[in-house]
Amino acid sequence: MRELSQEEANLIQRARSGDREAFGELMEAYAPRAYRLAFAIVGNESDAEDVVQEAFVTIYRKLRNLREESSFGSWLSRIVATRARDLLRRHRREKKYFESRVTQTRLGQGSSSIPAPESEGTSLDLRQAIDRLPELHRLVILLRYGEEASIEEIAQTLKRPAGTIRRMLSEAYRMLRLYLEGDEGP
Amino acid sequence: MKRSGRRPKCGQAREKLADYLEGRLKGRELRALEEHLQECEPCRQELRKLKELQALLRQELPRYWESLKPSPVFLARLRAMELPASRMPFEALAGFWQRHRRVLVAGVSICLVLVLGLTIPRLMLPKKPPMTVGSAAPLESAPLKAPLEGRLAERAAPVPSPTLPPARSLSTEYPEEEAREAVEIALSDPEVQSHLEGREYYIKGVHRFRYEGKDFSWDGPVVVIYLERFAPPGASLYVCVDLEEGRVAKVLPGGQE
Repeated sequence: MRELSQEEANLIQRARSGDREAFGELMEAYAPRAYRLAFAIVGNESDAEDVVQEAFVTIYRKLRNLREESSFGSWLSRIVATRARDLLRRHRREKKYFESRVTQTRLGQGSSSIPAPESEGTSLDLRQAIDRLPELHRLVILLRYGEEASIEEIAQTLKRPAGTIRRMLSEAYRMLRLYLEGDEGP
Repeated sequence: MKRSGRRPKCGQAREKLADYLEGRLKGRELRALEEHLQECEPCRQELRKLKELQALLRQELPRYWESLKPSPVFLARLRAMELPASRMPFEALAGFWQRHRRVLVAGVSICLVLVLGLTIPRLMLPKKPPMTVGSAAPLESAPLKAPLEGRLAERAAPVPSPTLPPARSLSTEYPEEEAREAVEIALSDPEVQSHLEGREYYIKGVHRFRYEGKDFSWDGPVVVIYLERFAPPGASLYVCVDLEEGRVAKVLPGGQE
């Protein structure tokens, strides 16, 4: 992940002091990152937007408890990931959401913001393979290669030890290889 | 007899390939893997395939990730969102402090000097021991501190449930407000309440614990509750509290690995 710029650090500091204008700018700066993570978990635009909105309300209420400006990004990611996974669990319990999701591929369909792949074969196969991964393994892969997050950052976002994240990454590689090579695996 | 299947060494080596590619192996572990790779063609092939997979992921995923953009309509809605009013008193206080900082600091300093001036002389006056008429033995002075057991009993006074312990700092790792919130969440959880029923429990504090078990992992605030007045081994609860979700994630009896 990229390092915090001085401008962003100042913005966070001002927002912590109660500057609403600064908080508005902060939301605009971090909304895309929060949205991507939420979408990767919940799989649709509407729920992702709800999650991001709720996350920012929580951030606003608790911002003065933030110890260091540099941890703002991972703190936001953690809140978004928690809320998104909670929403997903709620939907699964309701069953209707789960049934509608079975009929669409999360990556590459169902959202206006995903472009058509340039190379149908490789890209779609990879996306389908990623889509088949268990939820946390999929998130680890997306954060590692999409967000370019370090193992430690992913560990903080998903509230898991770094050793667990490394293990999940290795398992995800193994599963992706099996899916891409056409082996259904055990 | 030729052994079928992979040698055990290959299994261990393949588990380390991802760490190897990311430069996380060092020293003896690194040398051992490199030696194995020199001897083992199947593992070298696994390494090549892993490199190809990582290259594919690096090529495809950033593009996909960047393509996930929130709509301009949503961003506008976010910007126009009404933020909760709960911060307003804080903003008002912050503004008041900025404007009257010097006067407030001077006032607090004066009060402090007055309090110290009245209190210190009293503390420094020695206590007179009782006189024993006609005795040549040295007088014993009154004990300055209560016996250890008495002090512990005072600290560990049973707290009527479900309320918070007397005012004292609950945590050195979390802000007091968060620590109290964690304790409130823990005490209102039905599973925790079932453990506390009929016991004189004591809230030890709120600490950050990392736990990795077979089916559950944790890295966050844990409310530690002693289930007896003085905790013998095992008689405690470790309550993992998820502050973001406002709920108890897991209750672990003390002594569990």
